[in-house]
Amino acid sequence: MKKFTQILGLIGLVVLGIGFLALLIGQKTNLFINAHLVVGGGLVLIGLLSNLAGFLDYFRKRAGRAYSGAILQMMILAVIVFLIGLISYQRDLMMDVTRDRLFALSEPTKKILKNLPGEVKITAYFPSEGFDQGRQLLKLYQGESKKVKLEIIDPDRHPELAEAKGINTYGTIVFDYQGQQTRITEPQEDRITNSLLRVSRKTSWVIYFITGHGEADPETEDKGGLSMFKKFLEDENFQVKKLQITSQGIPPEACLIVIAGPRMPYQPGEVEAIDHYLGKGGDAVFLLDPGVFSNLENMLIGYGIEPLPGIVIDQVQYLVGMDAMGLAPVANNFDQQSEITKTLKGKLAAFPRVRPLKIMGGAERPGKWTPLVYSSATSYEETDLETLFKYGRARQDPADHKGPLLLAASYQERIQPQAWEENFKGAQIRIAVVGSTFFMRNLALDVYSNYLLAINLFNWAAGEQSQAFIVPHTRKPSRIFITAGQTRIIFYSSVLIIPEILCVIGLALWWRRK
Amino acid sequence: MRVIGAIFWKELKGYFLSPVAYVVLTGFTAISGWLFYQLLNYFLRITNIVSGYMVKGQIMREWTIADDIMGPLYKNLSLFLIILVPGVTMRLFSEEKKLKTEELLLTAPIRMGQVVLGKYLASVVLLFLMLIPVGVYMSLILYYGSEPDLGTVLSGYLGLFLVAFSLAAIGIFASSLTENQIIAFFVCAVIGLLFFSVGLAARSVGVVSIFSRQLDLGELLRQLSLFEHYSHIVAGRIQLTDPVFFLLIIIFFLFASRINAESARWS
Repeated sequence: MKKFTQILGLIGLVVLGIGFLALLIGQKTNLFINAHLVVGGGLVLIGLLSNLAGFLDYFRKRAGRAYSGAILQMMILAVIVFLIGLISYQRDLMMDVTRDRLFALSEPTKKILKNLPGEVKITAYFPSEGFDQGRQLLKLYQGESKKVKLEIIDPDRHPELAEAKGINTYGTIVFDYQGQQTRITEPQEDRITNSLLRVSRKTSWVIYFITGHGEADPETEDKGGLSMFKKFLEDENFQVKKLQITSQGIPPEACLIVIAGPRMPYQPGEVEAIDHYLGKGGDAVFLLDPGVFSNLENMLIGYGIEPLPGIVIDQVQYLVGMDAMGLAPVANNFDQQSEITKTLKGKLAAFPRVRPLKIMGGAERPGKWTPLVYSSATSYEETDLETLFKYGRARQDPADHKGPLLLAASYQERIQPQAWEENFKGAQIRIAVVGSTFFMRNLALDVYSNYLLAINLFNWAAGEQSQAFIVPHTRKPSRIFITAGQTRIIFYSSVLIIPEILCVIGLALWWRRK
Repeated sequence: MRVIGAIFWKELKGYFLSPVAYVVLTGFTAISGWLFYQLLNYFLRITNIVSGYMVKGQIMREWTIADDIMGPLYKNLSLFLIILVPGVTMRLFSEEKKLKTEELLLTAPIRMGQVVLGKYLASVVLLFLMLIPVGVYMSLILYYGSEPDLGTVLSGYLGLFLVAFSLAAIGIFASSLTENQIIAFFVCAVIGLLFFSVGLAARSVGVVSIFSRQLDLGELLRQLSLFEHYSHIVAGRIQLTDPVFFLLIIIFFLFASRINAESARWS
């Protein structure tokens, strides 16, 4: 009977333990937990009471005291170890031993953090599992500047907080500065730093899309519209507005104007207004589709770039599924020096219906053109557009320009304002020209790295690259150069010879002692 | 110190005069060598085909020695250690108990802490020898590799030692619990596995309330995970909690072994 009650007591301990564990994890009592707690507690009580005399006797003995003392000591030790661990956890020190400083902030980010005008609240909506790198990255921002206040909310645990802010994507980060907000969904250094920069600036940044000539509409949601890209621009805290050029010219608050694929020529007065705006240090993005005369070509030639009249065809590297003629060439030849394209190394961009560009020597303006993207060597410029579009035939003639063909370029010119000049916009003229709007229309914006190229282009043209172009740290590639013979030697020595020697010594010793 | 030295040499001789050391050394060297060769071979082949890890035709990251050879090697070897280290430590106290030589230790005018430390150091030296071939592989990589990330490769190697030494402390504690070596082996392996895998449970638990105080149980479990801390070190991101965690594991289990062995003196 005594043995039986002892066993009952032990079973009770296990049941009680499981009950407590379930309560700790579930946080709410239910039938399972209650039954375990009651039954386990009862069994422990039965075991304890029916063996009380034995227990007391055991603890009076030296062995009993020694074992209970040992358990107590271990518990105290565990508490001490836990406390030391807790202190080191709260210190949160980190050492980055990687060669490429993968876990440290880049210098431009540090500079931006140092120059923050006031307190910026960052709220990250990360679930408890995953987003470790994002979490770590945000802690680096917090550690770098006292003006950064970080809060991490688990949207699974606090759906009400996520709903209140309209969060519907894991990993969303909201930046808040004096009531001004912006948000991102990719916890990467370049995106975070850009957002900090945008949310903390006081000036209003307006991008005007010129309308009235059949341009792509930033509000249209069909395949030919730019609504997706407009949303991305708004996420970057830009205001996107449409503009019909009047006698007033370009409004002074414009940080950038966009000519997105006109289907009709601009009137001379409009061209003059754009030229005037650029001359005062304005910035513009020209997206000129093939086969259309926009009347802006001559103005661009004045700046030193000529949009060629043909269309680029690449029947080897083209976007499969869009058309079978190679009218959507895929490019991977990006300039590695430009701020716009240096993050695109190893990536691809698709350009459905693109016209080639040509940078001209001896231009009137003193600025510098930078070629950004080239098509592949298998591409060529089809100049016979009539046959192409009327009969669906394309053939490379000897007169056609052969690839690589320039698809996008950027222009930068420093200007000195005269004392009497009004509405002076900036010390630089920035122009970006692409031979296509289709690459950033809704139908192709999410293809390959088109979005990245478009957003980089706009950020640069809006004049923000000096602070906001962050190249996130990545591990640089490394290689091993060994011959087949050396590989064989490594195999024999590591897999066979060393284990063989150890095995032989072991066997000899064992046999000798046996 | 003299006592610790005497026990250390006795245990070390014990290892090398029995087949244990050779079985462990041979097994680990063969496994680590094979694994290293496979990873190296794969790396050589893959770097000839594409320049990086690609998704939908785009390079997401470049191939690197640290991420594609040494990182996987270190992580896989740490799992082998869960099996091999208990084999090294299982006899340390259990054999004494079984052969009744424990009584000599208990009645001798020496402190139990010295006994524990002497035995622990002997197992640490054997594990150190066992991990030397991995250092040879690392040296080969550093010699033949172009622009390897030295910091990450070295910190991963250091992490491997920390894992081995922590498991040895757990092993000596397991051995002090029983006279049966098999049981000591499994107790050590199970505790080691628990410490490795406890971080996985963090996914399913979050913040819990204990006595009206909020406790992030998920984070606590992650911090208790040996693999989590080891992964940080292998990636080259060493947080203060990582080395502290390994040191605390070693200190806790060595003290626990001492307390446990000491209690036998009075039973």
